[in-house]
Amino acid sequence: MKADALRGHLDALILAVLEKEPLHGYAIIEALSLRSGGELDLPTGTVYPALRRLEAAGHLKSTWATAGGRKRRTYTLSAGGRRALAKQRAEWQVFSSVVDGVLGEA
Amino acid sequence: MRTGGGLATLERVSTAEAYVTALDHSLVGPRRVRRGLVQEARDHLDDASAALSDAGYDRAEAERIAVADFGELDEVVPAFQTTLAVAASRRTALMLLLVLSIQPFLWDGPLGPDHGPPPDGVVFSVLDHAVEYGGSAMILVALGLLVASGIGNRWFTAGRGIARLTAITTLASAASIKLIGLAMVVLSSGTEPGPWLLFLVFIVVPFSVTGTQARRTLALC
Repeated sequence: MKADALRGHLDALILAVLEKEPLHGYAIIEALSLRSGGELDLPTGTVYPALRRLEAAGHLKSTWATAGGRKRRTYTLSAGGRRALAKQRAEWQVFSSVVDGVLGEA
Repeated sequence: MRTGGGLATLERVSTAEAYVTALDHSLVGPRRVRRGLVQEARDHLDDASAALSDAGYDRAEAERIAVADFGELDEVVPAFQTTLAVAASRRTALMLLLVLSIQPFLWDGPLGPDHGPPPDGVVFSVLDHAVEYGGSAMILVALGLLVASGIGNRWFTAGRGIARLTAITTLASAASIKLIGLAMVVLSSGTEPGPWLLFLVFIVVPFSVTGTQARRTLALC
């Protein structure tokens, strides 16, 4: 899946992979790749500005923590981020069911 | 994620560290934010290279793939630069808000009409109203710009447009407050040194510093 098709959805995908546990940047990108079955095709470097934007929005909090013996900037989903994720999930379900209804075979 | 792309970048940058150095040299903006972004890029390439090495690639090949996956500098730098421009605009909006917030105390206090008879005349009255109502409006605008570049990202993506708007608004506010302040001090105080000193300390210096920050922000947009 190309980056253009992801436009507008990357933020929700990032929030979703942080739902269960805090992760550092590389682990977030690994989780995105794993959960998409390797289908996401975007320059991994472009995820970092999105993380900063989500942090500025108050959806994520970041701290420097040690992971695997290395010090890494680690992101945690905030309460506001959980609410945003729930809202985006609900919106996506409505959207996908509408598109399914139209595009699905008659 | 992508593997094997970015050949043009790889011709210029063959290792992770060279890529990070080139990224660092390509970015301009607030030092702390820039260092944080570059450090995250370095950490990412370290982690990705280590994972690829563990998967059986030799170190040089692992770094080459990690760099290719990270993306061409041509596509990564603009996104990082936008982050820096917005961070700079947040600082600019905060500075504008702070320097504007002291103005009511200044104009209702030591530079206000209570400290001597206000000069007669339409010009002074117009300036007095301009600094009162215009200043209040500017405080609200500065607050709005601060919110827009921060939690405003919940509703829209704050990009270089917001950063540019913040910088231009700040430059206009700084210039107008300095001009109005100068005119009011001339009309009300003449050559008395006290008001001129206050004008210099509480208007000229803080708004000039804020204006400089705004010009730096504008240069990033």
